[in-house]
Amino acid sequence: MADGRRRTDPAIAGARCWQGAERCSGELFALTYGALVRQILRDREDDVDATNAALERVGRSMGTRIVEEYLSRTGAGARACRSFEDACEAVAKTALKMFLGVDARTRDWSEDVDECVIEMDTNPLAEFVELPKRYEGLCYCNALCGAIRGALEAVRVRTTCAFESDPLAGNGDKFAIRIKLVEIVPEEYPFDD
Amino acid sequence: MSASAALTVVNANGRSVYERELGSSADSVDTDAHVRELIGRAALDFADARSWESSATYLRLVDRFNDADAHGYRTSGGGRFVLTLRGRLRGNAGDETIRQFFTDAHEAYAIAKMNPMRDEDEDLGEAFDRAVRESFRRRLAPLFPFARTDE
Repeated sequence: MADGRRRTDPAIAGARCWQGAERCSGELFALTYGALVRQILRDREDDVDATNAALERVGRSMGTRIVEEYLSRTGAGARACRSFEDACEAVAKTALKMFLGVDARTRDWSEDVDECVIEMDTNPLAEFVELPKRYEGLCYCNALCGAIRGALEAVRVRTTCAFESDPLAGNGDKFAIRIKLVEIVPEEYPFDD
Repeated sequence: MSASAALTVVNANGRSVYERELGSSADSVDTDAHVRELIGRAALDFADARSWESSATYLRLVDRFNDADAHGYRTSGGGRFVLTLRGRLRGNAGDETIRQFFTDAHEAYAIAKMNPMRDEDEDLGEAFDRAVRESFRRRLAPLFPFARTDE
């Protein structure tokens, strides 16, 4: 690396954090999330669009908090992401692995390196789930998009996130999230202080 | 000679959550869905009666109706499965084979019940259907001459 420091491979960092992490049963996690989605659907009287938005919001709040844990556990200070590309790699290989135990990778980078797709091998959120016809258009795992967006936003990377393929909705056979960079917010120093 | 097999699943509330024909011989016509339903439901009573006699989940042959054999299974949660085999089969479906089929179905049932998007009395859904058909193809389809298991 240019600064002479050796960067740990993000995949290895993710695996290490996953190993040391405190875990709960995957089934409990999947069912709890399912209960959350059901409750939100009920509160929104089965309005699918409102539910998608609500899930996004829930995810975003999680993301802005979870990024703290990510930074402290990975010790990311020593290997800060220097570009959007680094950030996406970190989300795919480190963050998804350490929080969900999912193997993921980035693909389909755009030419300007401001857009890519994160493809996940598995999705513990969607275990057991089958969407009934009446919830067509529901983005069941939207909280995940929200979490990624929230976490990146907390470190000053504004993005948009949406599912590119979602097997629950019957398109594609793997979960994939498209991330698009909106802007990297310049750091504001508190000059007034 | 036509032959067919059907599975009926009733949940603990007594609601029918799955009722399909799983396979039939090539010359069988699925015109008698109501007969199938009748046999399946009638067999439920016998399955209930039989479940008091043993602690096993597989209740073996619980009812006979003309050329149809009804096999019963009861999960510990109160769900009941009835497998109806009709017509002249090629050979005898051994108890062990049917028990294995029911075990597969029970597993798929447990998974289908975990689906958070499904209400208690709703149909079990496609994953259950797929799993049951897969198990049927593997274990029981050889009993059907020229089996046609894809509906």
